[in-house]
Amino acid sequence: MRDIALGQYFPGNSFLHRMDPRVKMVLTFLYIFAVFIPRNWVGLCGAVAFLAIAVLLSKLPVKLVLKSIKPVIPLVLITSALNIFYVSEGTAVFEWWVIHITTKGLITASFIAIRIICLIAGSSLLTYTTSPTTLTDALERLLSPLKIVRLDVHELAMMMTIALRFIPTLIEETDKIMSAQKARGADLESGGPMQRIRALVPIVVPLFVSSFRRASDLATAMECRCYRGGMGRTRMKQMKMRAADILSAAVVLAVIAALFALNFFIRPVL
Amino acid sequence: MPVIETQNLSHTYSPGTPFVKEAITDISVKIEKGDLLGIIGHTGSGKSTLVQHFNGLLRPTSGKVFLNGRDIWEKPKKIREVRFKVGLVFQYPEHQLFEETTYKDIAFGPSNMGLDADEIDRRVRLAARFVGLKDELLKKSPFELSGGEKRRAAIAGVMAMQPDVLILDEPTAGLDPRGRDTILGQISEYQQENGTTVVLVSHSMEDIAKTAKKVLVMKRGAVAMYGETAEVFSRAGELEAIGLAVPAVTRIFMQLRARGFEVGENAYTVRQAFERLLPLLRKGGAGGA
Ligand SMILES: Nc1ncnc2c1ncn2[C@@H]1O[C@H](COP(=O)(O)OP(=O)(O)OP(=O)(O)O)[C@@H](O)[C@H]1O
Ligand SMILES: [Mg+2]
Repeated sequence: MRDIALGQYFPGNSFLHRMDPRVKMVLTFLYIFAVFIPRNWVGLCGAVAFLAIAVLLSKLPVKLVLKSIKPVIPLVLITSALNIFYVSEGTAVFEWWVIHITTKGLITASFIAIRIICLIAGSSLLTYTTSPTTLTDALERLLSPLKIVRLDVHELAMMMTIALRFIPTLIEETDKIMSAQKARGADLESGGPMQRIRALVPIVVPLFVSSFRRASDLATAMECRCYRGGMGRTRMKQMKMRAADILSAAVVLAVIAALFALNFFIRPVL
Repeated sequence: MPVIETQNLSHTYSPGTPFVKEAITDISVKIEKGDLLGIIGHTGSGKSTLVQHFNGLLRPTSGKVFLNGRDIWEKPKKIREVRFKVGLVFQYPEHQLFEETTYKDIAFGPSNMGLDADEIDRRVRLAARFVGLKDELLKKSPFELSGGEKRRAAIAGVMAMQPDVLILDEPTAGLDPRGRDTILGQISEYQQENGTTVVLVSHSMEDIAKTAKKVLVMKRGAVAMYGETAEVFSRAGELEAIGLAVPAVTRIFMQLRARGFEVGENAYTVRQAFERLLPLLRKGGAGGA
């Protein structure tokens, strides 16, 4: 159970780790947008190269980044296949019965595959280099203008932080309770559907009990430290934009501009 | 023939991820029938990991575990039967209570074994008596019991399966001194009356000294010492090098001997110390030195 990479934060002290999380978040969104700009190979290669540089800067093991792509491989394969078989423009390279594969289909398929992979790898770079709590903190700051429309951004972010914080704890707890009930001979693997659902009772009940106990402990602890919601709350760790953040933002904007420009100067293949 | 034997047992958590952790390495031990074995070691030394191999909750990364001479992973489908023969009480077992009544919760294990109602009833009452839970508590919801009572109910839940080997992981954690003594006393009594093999995991040298006949000392996932309680505790220097203190009374005895008092063998419990020192004091003289 513990092997599920949920809170996939990978601690470190690289350039990406030290970036202002707000800037990092915005730039990640911009990058995802940028991946869809190029309509020619040069631009697309540029987008991939940019990602590769970011991975190097993060000092993460490349294997880890590749692993984040693994879950979307089926999606990539299906969308590519659909494109290969349904795009009928362009010169045919292979024809047999109802199947005809064209150059245009192949190109569209590879563009889409590369875009999806960049999108996933780029956003996992954000979650790998930013702890979940920092992430929600940044989100709170970015969304704070929504306070005007009476959305309690702080409360929302606090709920997210707490939920994220307790996911690993809950997994660990489930693991422990399952082991304990298995030690008493609980059979979780065999039997019909009804029997299997009934077999969950000895696990779900203690899990609920301990979650409520944890929730009430946490509430008490928060009250003891005079937590009263977001009003007038200041922070110990201020998020600060440094020169490096501004520089990164400039680089990303320049890349986007370049990608747009390339679309004008190079004949699109799409 | 030992009841439980491990051969070159190793276990690695989360292999192939950035969080790999080799928790125990190359452990070969034999536990004889009827032993009351204490396992002691620092936090994180792999005690819980080791005992979870004894009943097949964890599968060895390498090495083997034998129960009554048979490899428990010979037929993985039959692993549930191993769990009925080797009962394991987890750390903080009160967190696993779930039934409407304490009685039903204690009966959970025995009913999973497929026993008939009369036998289940007999076993539940016997186990409840061993841990000192009164009949009126059995009718209550387990969530209404006090902390110590919950702990005892959870222990009774495993005792009621009447396993050949009873393993308790830190049964006294978080209890007050009287609660600790009660539970340890009940475990000793249970062991004597049924001749069950008992394995007791603990942080506390005092607890082990009071209860166990043999001691296994763990250090960073390996066995550092294994032998009779008296023998292990006589190697105080080695124990302290591992960072485990011998019981306070033992230390007093060693100091007394170092200062020339004829205290005889080392004592490990207050009771023993009392019995050894009393005649010495009666003789008088010694105090005047
Ligand atoms: N499920 C798990 N996944 C990953 N690592 C684990 C897991 N359980 C234990 N470990 C690690 O294995 C090592 C041994 O843990 P174990 O629980 O066996 O120690 P212990 O001697 O029982 O400690 P304690 O006295 O604190 O209960 C520890 O370093 C721990 O962090
Ligand atoms: Mg433990």
